[in-house]
Parts: sequence; C-alpha cells; structure tokens
Amino acid sequence: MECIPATIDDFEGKRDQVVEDPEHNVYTRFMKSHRCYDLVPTSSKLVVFDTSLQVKKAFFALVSNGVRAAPLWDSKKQCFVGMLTITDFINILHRYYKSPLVQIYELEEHKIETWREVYLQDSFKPLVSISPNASLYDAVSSLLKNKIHRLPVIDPLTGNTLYILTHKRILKFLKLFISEMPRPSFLSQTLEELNIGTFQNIAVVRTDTPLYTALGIFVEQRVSALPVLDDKGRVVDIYSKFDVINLAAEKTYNNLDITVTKALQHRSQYFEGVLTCNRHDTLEAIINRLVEAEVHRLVVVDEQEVVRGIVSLSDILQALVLTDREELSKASYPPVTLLPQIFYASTCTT
Amino acid sequence: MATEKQKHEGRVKIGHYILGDTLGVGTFGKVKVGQHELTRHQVAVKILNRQKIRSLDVVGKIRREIQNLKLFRHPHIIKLYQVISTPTDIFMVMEYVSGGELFDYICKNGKLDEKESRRLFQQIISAVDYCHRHMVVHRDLKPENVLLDAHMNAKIADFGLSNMMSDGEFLRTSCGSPNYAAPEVISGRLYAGPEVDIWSSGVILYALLCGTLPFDDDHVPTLFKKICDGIFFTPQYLNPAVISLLKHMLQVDPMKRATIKEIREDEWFKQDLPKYLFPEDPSYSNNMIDDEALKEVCEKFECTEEEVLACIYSRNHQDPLAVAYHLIIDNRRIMSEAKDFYLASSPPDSFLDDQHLTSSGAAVAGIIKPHPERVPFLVAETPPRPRHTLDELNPQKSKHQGVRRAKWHLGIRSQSRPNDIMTEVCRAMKQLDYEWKVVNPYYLRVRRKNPITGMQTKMSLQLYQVDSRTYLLDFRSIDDDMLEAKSGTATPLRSGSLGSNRNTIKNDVDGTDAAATSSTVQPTKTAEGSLASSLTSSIDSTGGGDIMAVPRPGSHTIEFFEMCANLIKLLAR
Repeated sequence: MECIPATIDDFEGKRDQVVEDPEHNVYTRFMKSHRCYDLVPTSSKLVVFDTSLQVKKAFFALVSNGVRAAPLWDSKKQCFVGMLTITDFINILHRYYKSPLVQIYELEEHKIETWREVYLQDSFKPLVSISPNASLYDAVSSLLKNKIHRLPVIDPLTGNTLYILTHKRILKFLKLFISEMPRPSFLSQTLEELNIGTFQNIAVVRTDTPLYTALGIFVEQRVSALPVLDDKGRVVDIYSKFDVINLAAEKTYNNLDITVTKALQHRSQYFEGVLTCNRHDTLEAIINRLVEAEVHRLVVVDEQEVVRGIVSLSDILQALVLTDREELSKASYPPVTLLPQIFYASTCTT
Repeated sequence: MATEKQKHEGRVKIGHYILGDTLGVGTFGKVKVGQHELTRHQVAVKILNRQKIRSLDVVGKIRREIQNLKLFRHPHIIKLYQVISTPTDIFMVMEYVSGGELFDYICKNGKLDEKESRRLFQQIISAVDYCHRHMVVHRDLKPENVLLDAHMNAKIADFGLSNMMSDGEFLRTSCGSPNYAAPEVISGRLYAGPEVDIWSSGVILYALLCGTLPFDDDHVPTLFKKICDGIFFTPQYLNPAVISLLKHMLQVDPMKRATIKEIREDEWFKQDLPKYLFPEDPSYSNNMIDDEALKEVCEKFECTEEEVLACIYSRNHQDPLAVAYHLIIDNRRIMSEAKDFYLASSPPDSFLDDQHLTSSGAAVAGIIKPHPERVPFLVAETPPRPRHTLDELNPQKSKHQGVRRAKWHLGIRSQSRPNDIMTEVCRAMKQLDYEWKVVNPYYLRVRRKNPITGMQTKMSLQLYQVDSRTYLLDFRSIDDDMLEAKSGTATPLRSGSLGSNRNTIKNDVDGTDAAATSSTVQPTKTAEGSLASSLTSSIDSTGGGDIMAVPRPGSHTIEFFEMCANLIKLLAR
C-alpha cells in the first residue's frame, strides 16, 4: 500500500490575482492567503494510537486525554493510516449492540486494525491530510469535499502530525480577523435571504427515542447532531455525536435501550440550553453566536420554538469561502445543492 | 451572563419552574415562589447572591454540604430539592409551605397555649436533633426561619446555610436581629457549635409561650448586654416546669446549657411527645453495616464500598460519605415510621431528580462555564469519583475526585549501578539491531534504519544521576536537520522562515495552548507492541521549513517513540 499521505501542498500556485473590488469574495481570498500552519497552535496535545491497540482502550484514551480524535499509526506499514473519531465509536456501538444484557464482544475484544478491516472491508483509502503549507482554502475545500470534520495537518518534512484541523478552528481564526477586513454587505443579510443552512428533511429525535435509534440516524444519515423535540415539535434538547463519547466516559455503553433524554442527563448540570437562531438572524449574528458558543451548529427555530432547520459550521464555511457571493445574491432561487456536504433524511421518530 | 435565567413570556424561569412573587427577603437573599410549568407544583426558590457566599474558591466543600442537604429528609425541615448555580447567583429550589413564618403567626395571634407551644417546640427540637446528628448546625435559628405548613406544623428553613457564610459576614448580617443569637455568637467567637441552636430554640420556645422575646431592647448594646447576662423576665402564667427548661436552655455558659439529650429527658418536653419525632436511636455505634445503604452511597457518590466503610469505621462522621450513609439509613427509617406524614408535602419522586429538572430548558450555567463539548472525564478511571454532585465542577477537589493525572516522563529510572545500567542498555540495543556511538560512557548516540521507510531514526541516550541512589536514562530525539532538540522534545525544531505573516498571527489563536515545551508520553501500557502514546508536540512558532517536493515517509516522532518503546519494553523484562 502506498503510504505517502494524500497531501494537499500546492499553496504557491493558488494565490489569486488582486481583485479590484475589496469586498468581493474577501473571505475566499483571506483563506487563500493564509496557510494551515497559521492555525496550528504553538503547543497542543495530540494523541496517536497504534492500530494494534484495543478499540475500547482507544476510546477510553480519547476520554481521559480530553481529545475527540486521534490519528492512527500502523506500526507494520510505518505510516498514519487513518483517524479514530467518535464516529467510529458510534459505528461500533450501532453495528454490534444487541441488548443491555449482552456485552458488546467486538468492542471488548477488537483491536483498531480489526475494526478497520471489518468496517472498511478492503476499501482502504489513504488518510486525508493536509500540509501546513497548504492554504486554508484548501483545508476548507478538503473538509467539505471529503465530508470530514477532522483534518490532520502533517508536516511533509518530518512526517509528523502537527495538529488536527476542524471547521471550528478555521471559523474562529476567520473571526479573529473579520473586523480588519472589508465588510461585505451579505453579512447583514439574513439566513433566509442567503439561503444558508438546511431546511428540509431535518433529522430529529423525540425525547423518548431510544439511544440506539439515534445512533442509527447518525450512522445512516451522517448528521452530527439531532435536535430533540417535544410533542409539539419544539426543540427541547440536542443530542450530538459528541454526546456519545459520554457512554465511554461513564462506561454505560452496554445499555443503548435508554432514551436520548436519559443519555443526556450527564451534562444537565452544565447544559445551557439548545443554541438556536431563527431565519431572520443575520449571517453576522450567526457567526458570532457559533464562534462564541464554540458549537458546531445552531438549530433554526420559529417563534414557537419549532425546529425549522439547522445551520452548521460547514454551511457557514461553504457560504463564506466556497461560494461566489455575488452569484449567490443574484440568484433569486438559490439551489439547495449549494450545500452538498449535508445529508438529511426524513424526520425520524420512534 | 448576569441573567442566565430564561425569560419566558416575560417571566423568569429556573429549571422548569416559573418564578412568581417574592415570599420574603432573608439573610441570604430573596425567596420567590416558583411554579412548575407543567404540573404547577409549587416550590420556594431561594436566590443566594454569590457575593454573600464565602470565597468561591472553597465552594467545593460547600457544594458537598449542599449536596448532603438534598439528602436531608425530615418532616419538620424544609426539603431542598435542587440547587442551580449561575455565575452570579445560586438558586435553591425548596419545598413550599403555605402557612408563612412562625414569627408572623405570633405577631398576629399573640402567644400560643402551652400545649400548642410544646407541640411546635417538640417538632423543632426533633428537626434540630436530626441536623445535629448529621453534623449540620443551623446557627441562625429564629421564628422567621421556622415556617408553618397548612396544618400548623413547624418546618425549619435554611438549615446548613449559615455554614456557607464567612463568620464575619454572618455576624454582620445577623446584627440586624440578634435577639436570638447566643452570647458566644454575638461576642464574636468563631466557633458556633450545636449549643447555639439550643439557645435559639430556647428563645423560640419563649416566644411561643409568651408572645415576646426574652431579650429585647431597641438599643443594640443594651440588648447585647442583656443576652450576655442571660437574665430574662418570666411571666407569672408560665408553668414552673417550663421555666426550668427555659433557664437550662438559655444558659450563658455553653458548657452548662442543656443538650438535646437533656431536653429530651425533660418531663415537660416529654408530655404528649409523638413517637415519630424521635425514632428508636439508630446509633452510630451500631456495628452492623447496612448493606443497602452502603450500596446506595456508592451509587450516589460513585465510590467504592471500601471508601465508605473506611469513613464509617474511622468514626469520621463529618465525612460526606459517612453523613450520606447515615442519612440514607435515617431516611428509610423515617419513611417507614412516618410515611404518610413525610410524603404529605413532598413532590412526586421525579421532581427530586436533578437531572429531570435541569435536563431541558434550564438555561443556567455552571459555575465554571465548561466548554459545551468538552470531552467528559473517564468516570471509571481509578480511583472513582463522586458524580452528580456539584463538586464535579471544582477542579481543586481531590479527596474523592481522584482525577490526579499521572505525569509521564520519557525515560527509565533505575537504582542499579550506572555501569550496569549502561551495559544492560547496550545489550538490549544489540538485540534490537540498533547501532550506537559512545560519546562518553553515559552518553550514546543511537540510530536505527527503519526497514520499511528506509529512513534513519536517531536518538541519544544520556544517563543522569537523580539522587544518591537513583539514575535516570533520558531519551532524546535527533533530527539530522537540526541540532539536538530539548529533552524529550520529539518534534524537531526547524530553522528558516516560512513566511512573513506568521509571527503576528501566532498570538494565542487558541486558548487551549499549553505552555508545555516538552513532550509527555502517556501510558505506554502497551500490549503486544502497541503504542498508545500521547505527545505534546512543541512547534517553534517562528520556525519554518523548506517545502519538500516529496513528503517524508513515516513519522519522525512516532518512529522515535517506537524506538524508545521497544527499548524500554526489552529493559523492563
């Protein structure tokens, strides 16, 4: 197997020509003129797993180290072969769970490599990574194109993983400089006007939806969070993929028959409520709220707190960086395909 | 952040409760009535301003105490259902009773007859006894803190709250109404033990019987003098039997003052005493361990049975675990002996459940605002920690928390002779097919050709003396392109500059940046050669590198770690 990571490293060639209108695609140009290196913190924690480590230990190690993803090192091939994320944990739980009475053998016994063989079934793809010298524009493109949330930054000189890049980090970085850049008028436009976000076929759960069903929705529909609705369709909570790691933290993964409400109880002391917005909020307000709250998405609700849609960091980055704003503003009926990275399926309840 | 309370149709909501009228203003802040948004169950919500509470750094202890207050179940103590914290306030969701304050009742109706006084007094003493047995002193007992339910039963509020205040603050606030304060309290002694509650109960008994206060004067210094002299007027109509009890309870010398035990043996007190108030003594000296209670403590505090037993056996009754254990036993007993009564004003079970109350809609922040998606601690990591307590929020708390993260160093410690250590190391390296150069007897440069990538991985070994007997073999990574990096620093420092705009942007983009400059290897409890290492890479922010056309195969850092791990494993055999 080819072990050289598929790395995007052609920064120099991608510099745009100076555009006359300073507001035109200002964020796209900003992203093209900064490198991933700029986002790598001076010092940060990175956890690497050898693929011969047991999956269960790996998930516990994620928890005890307070990280959400880890690059996987294959000692035999001497290279990074992938990432272990909460999604793997969800996939394992969903695939192998039988009942609260039966211990999940595969979780207890499998090594990471065993799981990867089963899960990927010889469809091994090289690890998607990026060079610190690549532009942020490339990073955003890679995140959105590959529909991934964790992009390891690998130094071509040493082969070391330096950092794991996320949507959150990129948007936060942009936010740091946003006041110093010319302010495009579309920031004052509303979500509705700009048609940012997903407003159809939002995947949701009810308060009494079994956890197992929720995990199934994560697996099948590739969404990262499920608004929890009451009988009137109002959002009362949100169950995100991230919340699943708590099952590892509390070692409660052997019972997935509990309701999502029950599964969310662990964070009740901290929980500040579901972060919402409405369609009439401006893009600027949405960006501020997302960055401030450090969450991945806001639930779009109407006046009755009924869920209308979801706006995620992916949507925002897509709109800010990968969309030609002028075209979008002109389009009277913006096509839904502007947001290809989000797959929502029909409303799912029990 | 000041008002995290959710505005709901113009009303403030705490948990699932919509706040209504102010019931009163107490020593600690306002008390408002709250109504459950769905069930209309009424509660009293006490709003404590944090500024009045002892330095926030020590709130861990207080939280544990509050946690225990939630376990308090007594027919004559206002139940605390839930505590919600925000950065500015603490909301205590409590049982609501409709009868108002005993103080107001006496003001309106004058003195009570002897029988009625005794009935209420017995209830109060029962409650005080219960709290004292569970290591909580009220310190601020007064008719304003004795509430009445719809059936004219006494319910003591604010038990345990005064413990949260600093003594100075306590005295300052109680100066407004010192009529009930014991002499040792007003004379400013720091220690306020159970005796102060006896004094205050005596004052309340007097107020019940006489409709006035035993010590009263508009001039505060005179009032203080009266209290410290301990001389009070006894009206003619008072039963001599009760006068002697009053005198015993209002003894200036706390050592001579009546104890709960003595009050309970008092003939006047014993008349018409309902049995449920003083159930058969559960007695801490009981050597039989109650397994069910033990299990419940372990469950609630997520600790081991051994921990609880250690507290019980060492008679460490103040330990929260021991307190919880005894509370559970007591609760069960009271449940069986006074079931109907006890349940009379309790909300349905589900409301006693914190999680139920806060799980949704409660837009109340924790004290330390954690990242909303912070990875939770591993609960099952040893040693176990209590969960479901507010202590979780306090990183300083360590006794039961036990999330003491091991500090890992990359190296080997040994107490063998230095020459023997180096001989062993060389033997192991030979076995691993490493090549090395002896710079000096305790400093080696080692390399290994990676058979897969073909790259050379290099490191150096240096033996240090730690103390008279201990030596440390330190591993360092070496990169060809650089001079030897700092000890344990796996990522090579590179020279050269990447671009001109780097340095300015590097300023603290991420708050999570650790200051660490050295890398830490996390537990390499590696089964079958697996390497689960966590490394804190330090990357020189000013450094850059030439952009290479072909990325280097493998990973310098991981190969270095593998090299170390293999050597350590072999030496550890």
